[in-house]
Amino acid sequence: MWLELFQEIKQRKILLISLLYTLFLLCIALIAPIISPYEVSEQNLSLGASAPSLQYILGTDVLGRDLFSRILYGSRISLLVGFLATFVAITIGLTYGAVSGYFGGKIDSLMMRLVDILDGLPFVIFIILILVIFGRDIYFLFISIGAFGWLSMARIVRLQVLGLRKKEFVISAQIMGANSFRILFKHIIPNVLGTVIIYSTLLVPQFMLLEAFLSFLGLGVQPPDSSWGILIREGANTMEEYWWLLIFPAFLFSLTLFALNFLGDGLRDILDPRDTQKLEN
Amino acid sequence: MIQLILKRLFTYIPVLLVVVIVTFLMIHAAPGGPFDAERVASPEIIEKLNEAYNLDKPIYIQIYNYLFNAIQGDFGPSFKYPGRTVTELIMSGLPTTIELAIYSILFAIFLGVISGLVASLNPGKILDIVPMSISLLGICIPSIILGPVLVLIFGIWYEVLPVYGWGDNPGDKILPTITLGTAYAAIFARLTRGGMLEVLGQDYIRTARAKGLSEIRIIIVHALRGGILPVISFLGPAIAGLLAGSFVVETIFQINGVGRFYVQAAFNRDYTMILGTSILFTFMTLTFVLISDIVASFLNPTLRDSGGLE
Repeated sequence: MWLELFQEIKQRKILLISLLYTLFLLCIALIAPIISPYEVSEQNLSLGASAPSLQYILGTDVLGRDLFSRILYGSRISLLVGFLATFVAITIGLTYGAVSGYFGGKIDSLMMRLVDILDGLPFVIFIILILVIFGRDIYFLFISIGAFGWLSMARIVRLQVLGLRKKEFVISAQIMGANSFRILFKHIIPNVLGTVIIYSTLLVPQFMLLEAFLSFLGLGVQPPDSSWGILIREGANTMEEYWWLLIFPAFLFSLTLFALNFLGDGLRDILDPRDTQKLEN
Repeated sequence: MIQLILKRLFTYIPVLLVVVIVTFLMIHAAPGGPFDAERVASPEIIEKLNEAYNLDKPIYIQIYNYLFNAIQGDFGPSFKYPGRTVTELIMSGLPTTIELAIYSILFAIFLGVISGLVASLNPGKILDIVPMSISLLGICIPSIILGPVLVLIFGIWYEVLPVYGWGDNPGDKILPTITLGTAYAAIFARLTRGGMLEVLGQDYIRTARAKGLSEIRIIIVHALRGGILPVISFLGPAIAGLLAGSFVVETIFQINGVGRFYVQAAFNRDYTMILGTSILFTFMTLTFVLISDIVASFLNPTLRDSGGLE
């Protein structure tokens, strides 16, 4: 499966570029402390906000901190929240969807009914509520985002499992007397994992956007930590005099959302060619 | 039809009730009481305050009281703005938020449906590729970026439009509307295009053509009714999203709407205000999802039997 997937990706240029960009960004985020030219919190108050120059390639902010370094470090938190929230969503969605699909019948319809109901609720409100009550902490941030973002994943997994549970290897495991728990985790879940990982590439940009949205409002990541949402917030506050503080983080963030969305949609199209309605037509 | 509405209402009310109770309990469990903030008050005063706000009663009585009052439109006093009730605060911002949402959704429908329609009638041609590429941009550029960038370009660099307030200066409604509506215009364009392409290939359109109807009549009367269905069923979630988007847009443009109040209440930990606005937003979201489900099943008979849930 993975080899075929790679062949497909190679044929689609935009998808390939998106993939390379994403990998590049991940590497950059990993080695940010090594390549960033300045300490992220190193202030140079006498310098203040300075326009991009040879010394500070993207300029500095009001406190004289190097914008390039802050963007590098910001990418770490933005990506971290995106990926960890996705991980939380996968964990919940996978378990929920697998249980619902495997047991079927009344349990299934009840569990899916709950998903339908939850789907209609305004999640941003509840995430903000959690952050207000338990404190604006990065852990609560990704847990709460993930805790509300698993619904689509549960649906996808359920559909997959519905198809799998009548397969011979599951039935033979049942005949051999394996308990449901073992069948689910040993036989069924490993088989849906590939699909799950591919679909979850679409969740990452969604969650990164949510993080930026909350940080922009001042309810997400808190300074002095920097995330792209924070940088855009600070940029928007000072853009009257210092346009570069807004434009560079905003451009990078849009580009990243673009790449991740393309990647997710492209991968989904390859996997499930029927459903090509969203981005890449 | 009526059965469907009743069926949906039957789940709608318990859900709303559960949400209110869970929210209430969450806020109740939050560390720190509402009165131990700035000034240190003597225990007697806190006791009196708790008594005045009914906080000394058992929790289920508090919930009951709250629900009973909330149904009558009374969300209690604001903890941070003494002397003002949450209902007063919400009512002062709600018209603005609703107006903003209506303008944005109209902008989104107008722009989105027209460009989606044009694209679907010229598949693969330049009139398809250009609007669809722009709509991709529209989807990937979030309001937290679009808003500030629009302000920077039109308000600061060219100084052609006012960048804050709502209804105070001529033209100050333009940028917030665009900021909030663009992403939905982009989604609507894609939904319309997809829906139209599917419908245009169907037999009843061929029949209409064979009858010799004019192309315009075929598209407007016959095709659009089916082609616009994806847009209609997305309207509910879209309005829900617009309400959440109003947090950002009202903050950027300093508009005194409920969204901005909510963000400020979250900052100030104004618990009664958070509770009231959360319930309001949930209520509005659920209502719009319900309405759009009903309208969609009205337009598409195949949805009626399944209860409009699939």
